[in-house]
Amino acid sequence: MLGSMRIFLSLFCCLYLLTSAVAQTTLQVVTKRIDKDFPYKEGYEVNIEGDRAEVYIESWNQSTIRVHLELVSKNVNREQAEQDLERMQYGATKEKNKIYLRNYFTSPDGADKPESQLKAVYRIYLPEKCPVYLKNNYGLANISNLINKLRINSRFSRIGLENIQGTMDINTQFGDLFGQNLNGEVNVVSRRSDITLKNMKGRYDINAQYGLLRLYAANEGLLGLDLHADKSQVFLYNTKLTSYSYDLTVQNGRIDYPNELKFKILDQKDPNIRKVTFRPNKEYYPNMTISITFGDLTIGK
Amino acid sequence: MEEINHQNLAAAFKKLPQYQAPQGLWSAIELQLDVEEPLYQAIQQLPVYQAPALVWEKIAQEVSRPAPVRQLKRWIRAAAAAILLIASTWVGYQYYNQPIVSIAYSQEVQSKLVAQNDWDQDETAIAEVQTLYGQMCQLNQSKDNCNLTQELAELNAAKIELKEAMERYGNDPELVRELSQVEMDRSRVVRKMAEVAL
Repeated sequence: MLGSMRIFLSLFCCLYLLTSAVAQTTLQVVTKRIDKDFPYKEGYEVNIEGDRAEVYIESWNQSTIRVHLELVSKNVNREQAEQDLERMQYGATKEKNKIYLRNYFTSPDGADKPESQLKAVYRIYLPEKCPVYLKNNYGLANISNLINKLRINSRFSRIGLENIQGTMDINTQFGDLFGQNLNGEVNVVSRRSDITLKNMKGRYDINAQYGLLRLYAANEGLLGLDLHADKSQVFLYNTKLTSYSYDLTVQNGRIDYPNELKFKILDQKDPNIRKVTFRPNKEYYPNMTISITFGDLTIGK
Repeated sequence: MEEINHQNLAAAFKKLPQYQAPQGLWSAIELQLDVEEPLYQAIQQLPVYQAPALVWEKIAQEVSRPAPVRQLKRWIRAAAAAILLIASTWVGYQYYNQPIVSIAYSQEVQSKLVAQNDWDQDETAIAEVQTLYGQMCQLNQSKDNCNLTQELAELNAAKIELKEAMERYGNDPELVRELSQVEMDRSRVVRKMAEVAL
């Protein structure tokens, strides 16, 4: 009797834990969708200022900038979701040669705090030559197939970039940056952000603090890397290790590298600072200048 | 037009309800007429005057003269037409250029775990460690070991900012994930502080 009671209690506990673990709630989702087209002309720029926004940008072969903006409110109660959705405002205007897209939260005096989950979702299609400026907080951005100029200023957001050429200026704080097939002049300033760049081509200038950096050079086409990292871990991978010139400085950290890289160790007056160089046996080569403080550098294939 | 169903009509009239005027109405009307009688008599005794013939002639001349038609200059008419065209085009463009706005409703299933706001549970302990660390820094006067205060302050500010964002936009999974990341960084710093201070 006692044994069967124990089995029953065990089963009951398991069932309770299982149901607790998968406890779910159904949310009512109210979505206000705004669709707008802007005729594109050479010299136009798209300027996006998002707050709690998911931004998806990709190019297409039409001379139109198409904007689909969704303001989304989620709550167990539909009326509450509708009421809170009114707090989300937007702007989609053209002034001179700039297309301004905005979303922002309004809080009238004396209004209660919203009870719903709110966010904005931008889906933007534009010609590949159209420059883009994006400022976003608490969201994410996925941008692909542009060839001109891209500037990003982001906090608490994930940034995904793919197949971008031209000039890129990226500033990220408390976020992650993932880039693939970036080719051009790439400037990154990051703080408390992890960075992964794959198939790097062009020239890179990276200034990072408190981050984990994974950098993968392309087989061909990386023209230079200038990296300053503070309190960060850096992993640098490339398949043709000896085709680059290296000037590496690591303070209060380690440098790990394969044996085939015969580094010349420079005068080591301060034991906490390691400086090494390497020059390939050819006339022209890309330079990699890396300086790290309070962090480690790992070079590999 | 002659009424062909005169009898039916007369019968119908007879069936209609009848109403009496309120008591005192007729006497009130008689009294009113008696009051106004001297006024009617006074009007009859007023003198009558004829207008001079010249006045009627003048009026006849004015009426027979054709009214002058104001001719607008050609350029004014062209400008007015252009303004009208531009205005109508602008209004049409504005109308056409308005975004298309629509509302959609759907449902979504979400884990209830998101609603558990447990991120402030350890604030007392963190504040204690921060205080001890600050006291240690004051005693040792070692600036190199005290940079964690600044690091924690930055993370504290980030946490406050994220909590404010969650007050505006709700505790959705993405923001909870961001907050978790900041909390992990804070935990790492606080552990370091505790190692130094304790």
